[in-house]
Amino acid sequence: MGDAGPCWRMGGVSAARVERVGPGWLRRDAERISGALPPLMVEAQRLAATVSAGVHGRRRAGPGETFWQYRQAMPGDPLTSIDWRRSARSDHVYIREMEWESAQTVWIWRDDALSMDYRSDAAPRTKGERAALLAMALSVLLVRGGERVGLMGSDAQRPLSGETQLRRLALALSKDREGRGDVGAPPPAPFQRGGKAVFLSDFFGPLEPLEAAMTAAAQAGVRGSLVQILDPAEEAFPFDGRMIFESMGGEVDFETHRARGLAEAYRKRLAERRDALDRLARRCGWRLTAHHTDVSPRRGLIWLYGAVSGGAV
Amino acid sequence: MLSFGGLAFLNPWLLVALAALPALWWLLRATPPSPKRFAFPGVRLLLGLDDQERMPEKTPWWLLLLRCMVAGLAILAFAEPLMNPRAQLSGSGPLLLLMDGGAASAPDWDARRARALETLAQAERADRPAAFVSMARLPAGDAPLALRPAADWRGEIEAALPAPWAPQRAETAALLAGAGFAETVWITDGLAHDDAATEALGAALAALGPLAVIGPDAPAPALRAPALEDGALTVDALRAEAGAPQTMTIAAFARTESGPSRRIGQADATFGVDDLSATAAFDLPLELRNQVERLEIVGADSAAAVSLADEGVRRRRAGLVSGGTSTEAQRLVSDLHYLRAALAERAEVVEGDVAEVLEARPDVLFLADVGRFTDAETEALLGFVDKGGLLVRFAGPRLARGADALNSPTGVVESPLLPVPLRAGGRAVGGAMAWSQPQRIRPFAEGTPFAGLEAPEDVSVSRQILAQLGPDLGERTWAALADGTPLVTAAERGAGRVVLFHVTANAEWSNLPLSGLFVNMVQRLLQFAGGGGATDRSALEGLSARPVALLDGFGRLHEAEAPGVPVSRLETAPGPDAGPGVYAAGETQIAFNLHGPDAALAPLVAPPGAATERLGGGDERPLAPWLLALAVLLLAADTVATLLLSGRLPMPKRRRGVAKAVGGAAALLLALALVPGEARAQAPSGALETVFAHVLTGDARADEIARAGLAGLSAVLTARTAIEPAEPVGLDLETDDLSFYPILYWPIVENQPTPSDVAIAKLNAFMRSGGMIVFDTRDRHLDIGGGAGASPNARALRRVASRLDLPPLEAVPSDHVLTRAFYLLEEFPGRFSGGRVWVEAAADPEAVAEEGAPFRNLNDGVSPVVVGSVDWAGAWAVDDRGAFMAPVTGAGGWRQREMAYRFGINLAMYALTGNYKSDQVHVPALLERLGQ
Repeated sequence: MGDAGPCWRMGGVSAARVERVGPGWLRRDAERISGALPPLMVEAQRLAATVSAGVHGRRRAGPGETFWQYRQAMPGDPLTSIDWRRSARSDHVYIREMEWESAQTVWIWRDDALSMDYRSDAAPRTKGERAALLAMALSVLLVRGGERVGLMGSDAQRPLSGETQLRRLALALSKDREGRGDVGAPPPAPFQRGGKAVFLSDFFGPLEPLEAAMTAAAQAGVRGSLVQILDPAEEAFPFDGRMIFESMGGEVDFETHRARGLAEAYRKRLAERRDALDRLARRCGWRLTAHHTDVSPRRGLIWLYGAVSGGAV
Repeated sequence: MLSFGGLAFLNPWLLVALAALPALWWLLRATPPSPKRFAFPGVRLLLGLDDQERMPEKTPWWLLLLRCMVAGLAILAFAEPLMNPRAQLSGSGPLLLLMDGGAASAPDWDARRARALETLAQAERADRPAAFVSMARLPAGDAPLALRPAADWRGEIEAALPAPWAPQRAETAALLAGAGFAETVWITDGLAHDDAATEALGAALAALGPLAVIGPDAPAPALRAPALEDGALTVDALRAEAGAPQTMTIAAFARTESGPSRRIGQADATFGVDDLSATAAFDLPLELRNQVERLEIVGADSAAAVSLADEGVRRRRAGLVSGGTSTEAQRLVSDLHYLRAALAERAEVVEGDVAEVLEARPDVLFLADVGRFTDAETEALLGFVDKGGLLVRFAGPRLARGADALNSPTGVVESPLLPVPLRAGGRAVGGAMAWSQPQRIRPFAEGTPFAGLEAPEDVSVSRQILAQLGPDLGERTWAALADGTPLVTAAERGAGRVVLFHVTANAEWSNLPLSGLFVNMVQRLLQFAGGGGATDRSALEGLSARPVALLDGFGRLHEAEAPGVPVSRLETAPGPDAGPGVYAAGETQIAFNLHGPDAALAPLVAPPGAATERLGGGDERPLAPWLLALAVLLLAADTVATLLLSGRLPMPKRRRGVAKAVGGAAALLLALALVPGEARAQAPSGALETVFAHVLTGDARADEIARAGLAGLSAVLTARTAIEPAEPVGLDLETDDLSFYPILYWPIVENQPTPSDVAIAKLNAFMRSGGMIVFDTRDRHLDIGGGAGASPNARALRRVASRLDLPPLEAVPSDHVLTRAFYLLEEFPGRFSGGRVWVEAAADPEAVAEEGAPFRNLNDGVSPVVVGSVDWAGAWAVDDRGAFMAPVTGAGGWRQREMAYRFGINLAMYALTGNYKSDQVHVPALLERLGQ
């Protein structure tokens, strides 16, 4: 658990290149207006390029295009599967088996509630933007690997593969939904057995809807990952003085006489919530990580990619 | 009006509100700043938490203080404080504006006039009629005290000048009797002048109504008429108020043939604590003393502080009477010849018999060997001496004979016209029949007029008349011979003196008259002679004195065009009919001074019931606007401090504690005050060492890379070459001086601000005076030509360069010095490879390499500009640990970085040594020539 993902080889693009994407808002905003290409897609593809895409073989024989092994034909093997060229070189009849390559189905939930719009001075982007970026980059990686990706609660909910699906995802991620609430909860999704789920949220809302969604997924045989995206200010609580804290939508507020005095209790509560999430995840066979908006998105992506594509789930 | 010294309040009752400040303090204390609203998603985690600490429910003390200061300042401001408050006119009705306007008013005349105009302005605002009277120049006419609108007097007051005499208070008092004024403002010179007149005036003014007396801090000083005392020119300085030691410097001025008078000496008059007068004595040679025209207290521009000198203190008149008859043929043995010579240029000489000479009223009468007088002559001479004349007699055969002729049984001759009794006959020494040698003169004793004169060795006396020994002979002896017999004796008689030289006035008895000593002795006697004759005006009785030059109020002498006055008028004090100055009566010049020899100054005692006020002390200045402005400023500071406190203004974390300790508002005000003055304390290190500089572009990353790049290049240069540059510096083009740096590295960023005209001028001067600017667009694309496809950085470069005075450029030719200044290079890579580098085009593009020579012979000039695009600084940049900060791109790898460094070295060499390498092409030719 944690941020330490597998040590992936870096691609041709340097880390500095990724970092320097930041100030390019203007151009991307212009493109957003022109609608030429979802800006998220560009960014996500650039981010995804830093992670080398591989073929996700199942490490066992099955339907696929990559040679796996020759084995002697057994009774019951279809005649058409005999590799005659190999068999001609010996007395036995051989069957050429390919590695099983199955397309995975991944459902991604990106929390788009108002609380995800928060950004402190220490962070370059809002939590929502970071979540969208991670979702999109993961989608790019997965689609490139031939997997099917669907975005829960959007037009692109049906898991599909291909460029078109990526465009659809990017549009869905770039667009703000109407009537967003203060905190989000994962929408119901038609989970299919063997699929994977990724929930990107700050998980500041009540845990019950989340638990319900995860239970539903587990019942459908879907395992997944929780990425708690937090702003550094939410982690550190660097406030002082008389303050009235209110939620992003203004639904809840809290007045304090001296914010500094609350920091300890706040951090404790945050840790408790993370523990609860962790317990919940373990129970359902999920994994949890915390991702902060002030660190490079690549760390989160690498962890996610490892979590989703790794066969060891 | 409430007044404290130089501060007064127009609405003093408002100050009562200051008592409410403690209440305000208490009130503010109870009202803490309101909390700040803050959107924060984590609020749900906070719900239900208890506040562990409570923010103290009170405003910090310094904020309280700030607010109370605002309130206090506002209260003070509305109470309308005035600096240097002026007495406000109180009543209504006609105003009498009275000025002394005499000589003593002159030193601070401008302040008086300003004060008068101010009072007039007050009357004008109150729409009151006024009359203006300068007491020294009383108005004449039928209605001398005519009332006019206050504004009408303005011109008159502005044109008014002080008169050189005292104010005519008695006349003013008479004039004011029965006049109808409601209020009087009297701008006085602070002197009593004439007690009776001042008292009368005070009474007259008191009868008119409220009186305000505005006087100076200290009345003006004055000078008495000069006098001669013991041969020195002295003058008494006067002051009105004792109480402190004081020294006045008095300068003596002499007439000059043309133009302004010349300052020839100065003396100090030192007042003791209780002195009202002090004497200054001028130590001047007689010739200079005779030229003195006026004495003046330095710095007191007033007629009262000027004292004119006339003949009374100037040229002495000497009468010469000889007992014998002389002819032209015997001039050199004449009794009077040497006296005439000694007196020439120093005194006016009158010759004749005793009666004639006394008629001319000499100061000194020289009688050379006159033995006998008629009774009338004796009486006249005694009268002359008694009145202060100096009678100098010389011995001789006739005097000796005269003594004989008396046939005194005792052999002793006594006469009132002789200082000592003489023994009959005489004494001859050193003659053929005498035993003794001619006598020399003993050194002159202290206390005699001749003290300090040198008695030359070669002066000797061969014959003399001897004095009868007596008890007082010693003290009457002014000079003696070596054997103790007197040479010069003197005795006081009446106000004058009788002096006897016991030798002749010619060279018969001694060679004294031949020596310079004689001249000096005569001069001393002249100085010693008191006044008397020339200042005695009895002879001028009935004559008319015509003014030659008159003083104005400020004490300056002007040529006069005025009717004459009787001489007797000059006995009394000057006035409007006869101002102080120099008058001529017949041949005699008379100095008419404001203060006679007995004058004294006394301070004015204000009439009872009068409000007194000091003159000057700066303009009246209302303080309310300043106080209000300060209050507003503090209010602004309070706003900022409140915002800071409630956290609505971002405050850097690490300063939070400090700011609280110091007090936010104070720190802010201080910061506001200090920011403009904060100088970039960057010593021009380039003046002492070789330092590479880069332009601060405002892009932090580019600046850091540029700095690190130059640092890396400097390190490599130090390791490999003789160039050992110091730490590179970043320069702000707008403020920093460029002239110390050989190379200015300029990384171009997209949003490079176009330099101001000042900066452009600096850059042009930098390039013209041998500096080199290295432009680097850092993006691998350099399109000097300016196509539409130019990169943003290239466009920025073009924007900057278009304003610079750049020479024509060319791509670096293969034989450019840059390719061989240290290393032989073919290309100039940086972080990127490729890309062309542009430098100043060769002066002679047609030049062709000589046969066999590898390079063209292009010797002139170092390119003031190098333009490239491959991010050299990026390739050179190393961080503090020596690790490279940016990767080089392309296939070159470490070799490319090495080449980048080599280019940097060549660049530095090129910038510092110029075309030195280009000269090397001559080496083969030189060697060949040496070989022959």
